[in-house]
Amino acid sequence: MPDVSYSPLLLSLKIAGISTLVVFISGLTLAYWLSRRDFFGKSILEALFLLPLVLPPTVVGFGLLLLFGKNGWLGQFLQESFNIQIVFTWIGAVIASAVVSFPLMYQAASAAFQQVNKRYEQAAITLGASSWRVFWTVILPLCWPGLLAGLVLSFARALGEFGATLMLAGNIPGKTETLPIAIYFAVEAGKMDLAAFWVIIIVAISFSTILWLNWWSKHTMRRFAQQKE
Amino acid sequence: MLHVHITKKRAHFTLQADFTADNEILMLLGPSGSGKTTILECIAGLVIPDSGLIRLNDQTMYSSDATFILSVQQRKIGYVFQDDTLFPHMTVEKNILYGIRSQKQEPDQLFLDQVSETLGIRHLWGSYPWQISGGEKQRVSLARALATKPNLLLLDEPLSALDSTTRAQCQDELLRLHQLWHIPFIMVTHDEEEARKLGSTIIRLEQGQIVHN
Repeated sequence: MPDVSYSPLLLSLKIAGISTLVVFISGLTLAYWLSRRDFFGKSILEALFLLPLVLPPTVVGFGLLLLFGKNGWLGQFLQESFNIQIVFTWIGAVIASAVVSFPLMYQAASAAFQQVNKRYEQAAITLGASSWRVFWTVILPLCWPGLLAGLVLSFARALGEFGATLMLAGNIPGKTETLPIAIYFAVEAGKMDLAAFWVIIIVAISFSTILWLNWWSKHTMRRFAQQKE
Repeated sequence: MLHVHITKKRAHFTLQADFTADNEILMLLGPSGSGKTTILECIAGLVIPDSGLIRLNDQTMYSSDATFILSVQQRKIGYVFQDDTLFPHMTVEKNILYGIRSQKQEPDQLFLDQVSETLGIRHLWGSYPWQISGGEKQRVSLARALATKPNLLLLDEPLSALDSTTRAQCQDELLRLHQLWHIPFIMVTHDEEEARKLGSTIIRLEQGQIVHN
């Protein structure tokens, strides 16, 4: 085993974790809000949400750099008002991961909310439940399998994020050097055994995540099918 | 006493309903697509009429003149849907208590026992909806709708998915329940025989219009 600092692994887990939390809450809220509304321009808004899924990460990174860079309006605002710098910091890595993995969460949540029979909701409100109570006690529990799938996928995507992160956060060991970036620069520097070590770790994490998700969704599907019988 | 006097534009016709119901079982009879369910949805507040008035006892629920709409939650109306709407992730007990907890009422155990007894669902309290039969599901739905002691009960073809024996049993139970709780029951059906058996008043609907004969 090569002599390595584990900081890329820990940093990756921290960044992917925070990013997933942000994406879970925002994706869930927006998907729920939009599933209950119809307005002019909704399709455009939804297409915009899904755009990071198909764009090259470098394009997303470029856009984020424009927005959060020294001369970007959001970057300037944060710097002047709160003395917060985004570019070349771990916060930048979180933002890049979040933007790239958001579509996965949004799509999963959106599909889950659409699948719930509207009659459950109507039954609950005729029984006197407030919209808030309906959401927590009826919709959320019924959508939980779909939401969890979205959560796991966006975590896996955030963990593997490379292009946009490199452009916005750069490669600063201990600060923004996540696993994918560490692999790239290890190969660049000819440290193939170090690269291989990280590759094995990230493949192991990703593989077990997907494996668990597949097993789990099959398991819940079976339970669901049983319920329908 | 329930007063309904509403119009609502639908894709193929304009629904016009004008009737009153005392503490009786009023049957809305008509072919599918004649606007029966829309009437129930308007009374419950799930659909907003285009114009008119809906009043239950002294409470106005909808008035286009006063541009007043009472929220669904405040109407105190029990609704039994045609399809199974028992919450699949809750036991029968939690389903039945859902309305009571939503409205922050104190559970009236005597009353709940009486409903369960009449409907014969006492032994199902710990079960999940997927573990019980179609007839039992509709009985539980009925108990859930009645548990909050509504002032009006709406039933949208609740028995249409049941076999004829279970159906006849449930019809008898409905009649018994109505004798116990004197509130208006408005029930939708497309079955002439059912309408005659249960209804003290029958309203026929065709293309959104009440047919008088």
